[in-house]
Amino acid sequence: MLRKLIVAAAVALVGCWAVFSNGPAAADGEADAANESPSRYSDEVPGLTEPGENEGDLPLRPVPLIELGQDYVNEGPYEYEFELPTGMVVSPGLVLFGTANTGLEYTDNGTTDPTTELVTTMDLFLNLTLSGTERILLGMSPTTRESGAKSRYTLGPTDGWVNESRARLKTAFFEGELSEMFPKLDMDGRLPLDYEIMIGRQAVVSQGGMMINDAMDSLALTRSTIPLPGTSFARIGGLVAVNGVHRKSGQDDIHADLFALFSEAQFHHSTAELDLVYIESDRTKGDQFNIGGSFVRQYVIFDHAVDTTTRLAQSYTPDEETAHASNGTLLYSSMAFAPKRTDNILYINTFGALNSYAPAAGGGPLGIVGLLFSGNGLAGAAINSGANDAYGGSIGYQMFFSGALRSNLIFEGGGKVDNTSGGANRLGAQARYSQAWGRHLLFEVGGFAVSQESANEAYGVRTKINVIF
Amino acid sequence: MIRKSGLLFAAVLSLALAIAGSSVAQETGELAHEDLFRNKQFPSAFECKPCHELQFRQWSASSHAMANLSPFFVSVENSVLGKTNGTSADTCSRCHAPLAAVMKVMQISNLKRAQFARAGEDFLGPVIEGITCVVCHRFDKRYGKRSARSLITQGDIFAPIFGPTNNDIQLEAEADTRLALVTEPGKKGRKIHSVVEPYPFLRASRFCGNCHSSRLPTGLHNEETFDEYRTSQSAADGVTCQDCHMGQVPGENKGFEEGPAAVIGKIETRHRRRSNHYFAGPDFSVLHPGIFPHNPDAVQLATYQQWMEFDHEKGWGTDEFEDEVSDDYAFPEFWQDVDMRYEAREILDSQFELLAWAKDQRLRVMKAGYKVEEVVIDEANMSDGLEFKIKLRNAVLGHNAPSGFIHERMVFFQITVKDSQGNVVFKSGDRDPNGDLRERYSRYVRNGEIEFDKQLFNLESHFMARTFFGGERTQLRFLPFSATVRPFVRPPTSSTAIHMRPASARTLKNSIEPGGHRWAEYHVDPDLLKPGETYTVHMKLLAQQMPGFFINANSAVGFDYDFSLRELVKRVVDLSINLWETTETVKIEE
Repeated sequence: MLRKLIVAAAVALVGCWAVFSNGPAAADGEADAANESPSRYSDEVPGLTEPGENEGDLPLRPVPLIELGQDYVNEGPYEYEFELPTGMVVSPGLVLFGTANTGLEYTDNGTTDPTTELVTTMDLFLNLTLSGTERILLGMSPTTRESGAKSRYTLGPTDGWVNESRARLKTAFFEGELSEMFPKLDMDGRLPLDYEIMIGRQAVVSQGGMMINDAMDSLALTRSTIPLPGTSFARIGGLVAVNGVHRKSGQDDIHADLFALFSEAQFHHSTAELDLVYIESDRTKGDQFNIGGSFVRQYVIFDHAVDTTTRLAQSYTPDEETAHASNGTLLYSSMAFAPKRTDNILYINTFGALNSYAPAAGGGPLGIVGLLFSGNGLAGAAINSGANDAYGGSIGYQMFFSGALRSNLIFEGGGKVDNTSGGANRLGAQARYSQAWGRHLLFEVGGFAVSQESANEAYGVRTKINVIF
Repeated sequence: MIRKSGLLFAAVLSLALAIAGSSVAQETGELAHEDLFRNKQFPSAFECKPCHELQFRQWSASSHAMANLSPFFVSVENSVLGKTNGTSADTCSRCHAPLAAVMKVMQISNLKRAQFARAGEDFLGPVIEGITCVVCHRFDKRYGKRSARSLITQGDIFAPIFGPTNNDIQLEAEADTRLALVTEPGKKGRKIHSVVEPYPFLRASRFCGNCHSSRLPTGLHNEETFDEYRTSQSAADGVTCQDCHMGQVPGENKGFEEGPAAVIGKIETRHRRRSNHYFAGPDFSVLHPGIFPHNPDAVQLATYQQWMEFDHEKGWGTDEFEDEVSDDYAFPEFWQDVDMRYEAREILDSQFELLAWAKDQRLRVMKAGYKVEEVVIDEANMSDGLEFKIKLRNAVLGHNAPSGFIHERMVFFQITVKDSQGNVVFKSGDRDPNGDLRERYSRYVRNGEIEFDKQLFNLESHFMARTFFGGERTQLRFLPFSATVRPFVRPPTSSTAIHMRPASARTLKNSIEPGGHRWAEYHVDPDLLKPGETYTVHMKLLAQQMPGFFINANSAVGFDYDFSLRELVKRVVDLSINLWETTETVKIEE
């Protein structure tokens, strides 16, 4: 049954691509005259649309819930200014913003009783803008625990409210630029003092999340716009994290310190990144060294512009392998293009993991492989995103239904061959429809079906209403 | 005499029409001529012009003066506003139309903004003047990378102005009773600023970083010219932005003119370093010459809408046209009167002269930046085909080339290889029927009507947006439309200081670093060649302020000035400039 479903989904995927790639040409509308190409730019005089409160007008700025001092990106004069002895001019502005999500999630993982849950999350942020490059950000997720457990009402197999609320600062950092904080060091702007500084607790991501995807207490210093011959842009930065990081096991390793070096160079139409990370911990958990690189470039293949992203990461422990530190390699590749005559995106992602790859911090290194490998923020992924001795990928198609791009539909098929002892191969399909409602809301609905080796099929329904403010 | 009366009548009529047509007009009233251009919050450049004629004239044709009037800016800003559910708000206006942002009249068609003074109200000229005089000369603090989120001190013409030197020259002028200067309201005489506050920071490169190192509210580095400068050889050598962009030779550090900062009546103030206020750069106006350059005579004669009806290309207002025109020629109502047309033509002749000067400044600054150093023919035989390459150097030592908002700056080679019969055997850098290059955003390429230009060499940069499936995607705008159907601009929820960008998008620069070079490499397949045949390789280096598809990408909100997409793109393409050109002859060996 499930295999038929997957085949049907694959047929639907190909069919949709065929239909939409032969659909209306990318154009303003009808061709201007008979026998004229629909590609031709229009001679129509549409007139300018302006902001206002009437139907058809552009939206006016949505006012944040709390806004103190200088308004956040609002018109009007700058009024709240003072100058520090360093020469820095401060224009304080405080804004509260965030998102709230709720959705009904049904999951049958094929091994335990299906669950039906109404899950709710909220992320609140308080941003204090100080100047053009300086700010302080505080953030918390009051309905979610640090482990990721979310407050929810379970409808099955048991009924009841599960409270995972916790008042914990998830984000608390300051960032700024040396030359802007101390402009008197170089008021003329002739010295290369554009050092960016960050200190505090915040989410750090490296190699798209393959190497680091974790919130940590850290200090970072970055130098950019380095005049490296042959490059259009180059940067290098270091980061030191203390008070622990989340290791491969998912546990918070409170004894671990993390040292990272991040670098990037942009060449003609391509970008290369190289990141190095070392984690120093106690003997029981083990030290670990990670190195990761990526290359992003557009190629022209079969007369299509194909965007490619390739990432390669290696983990290595100088000690004995543990549940937290291990040796392994992870390769990720993504190719995407818009079929002719559409704005849609066809993507093909693949990965291969040799041995037991361990991210430096945070779990789920395969979350970037596609819908099947990533949750929706409320419930987990259809296929787990661990990267131990496995390979697989996904192929998907994202369709947009209007020039406004306010709704889209994604079909994806994919799988993972798990070569670890006792590992199960999985093959599945997933779909998701997203629709924006008004200015603050979006709605998502979708589901997945996954065939699992040595277990029953897994099914899931995913919904989400997201409010941003 | 009759003609002058007619003109006067027409001017009064146009004034009345402008007032009546303005949605914000309250009531009309008689105003003294000098009060027409008065604004109590921020003086118009027209109020500065009487004493600073030269600076006004240079500025009036500049990109700074065009910043708000630009139809591209208006459409891009409104397009992004719509796409971000209103959350981009003042982001673009702070740099492009700072007084519109301060006075809360952003994102409105320039055709609707009142051009004339109204009784009890202010002249709105400063709003449409973009980076007008007071935007730079009314800062009292030393701002850095603020994306123009800065306080512009308010006050009418008498309020203090901020200049690079001090008040000494003004005091000398005030002491000269022949000049009849007044520095406070209620007195008869020439109205000027009460004092010139010393603000030498105007001559620092960091001053320019306020806009030319701009960050979007999402944390994306939108423009990094000042960042690039700071690590450059020019900075180390002490060469400032102003040295090359306000000096006497556009794009080169060749010193400044000496001259009076002001000429009052016919009396010059003491000579000193005098800067070129054209700020030579790559952009140029596509507007009707009655609208731009800014010209108070033009503003008094007709509204923007009326100017747009004036068909200067047909020769209206010239003897050649007017002597031959038939009586039943269908002129718009406003331009029925021949004297009005002559008056308009007189203004336009002055505008054309200024535009020609500006075009030359633009060409010189661009040629100062891009130097083709070498053409190398690597192979010319039937086994390898024709292989050649061109070495392009960024001769600027102060920033990348292109720089600024590089997501729209095109600098590309146009290559045509012809056989001895004149048949084209190879092309690159050629255009589709819309005027776009044959790249991914060309509609003709996207629709499969023409082939991709696989060997195109173009220094234009792009945004790279994060997709929901993990990769990055080249885009014309920074909005990650694959990742979300509801873009909403809020402060980034993680630090942008670590990777120098937000998680959602970044810029992929294709520009050349200061002093650096790139090779443009071409290969003509042997199948297209004949042994023993002689081919000509024609090579051009072209610059264009933006591609047509960038205009198209923002066209859903329409265009100001009643432009169609096609017409606007055509005008941009027509303004492309040829920076270099040569022809090589190659004989293909067996």
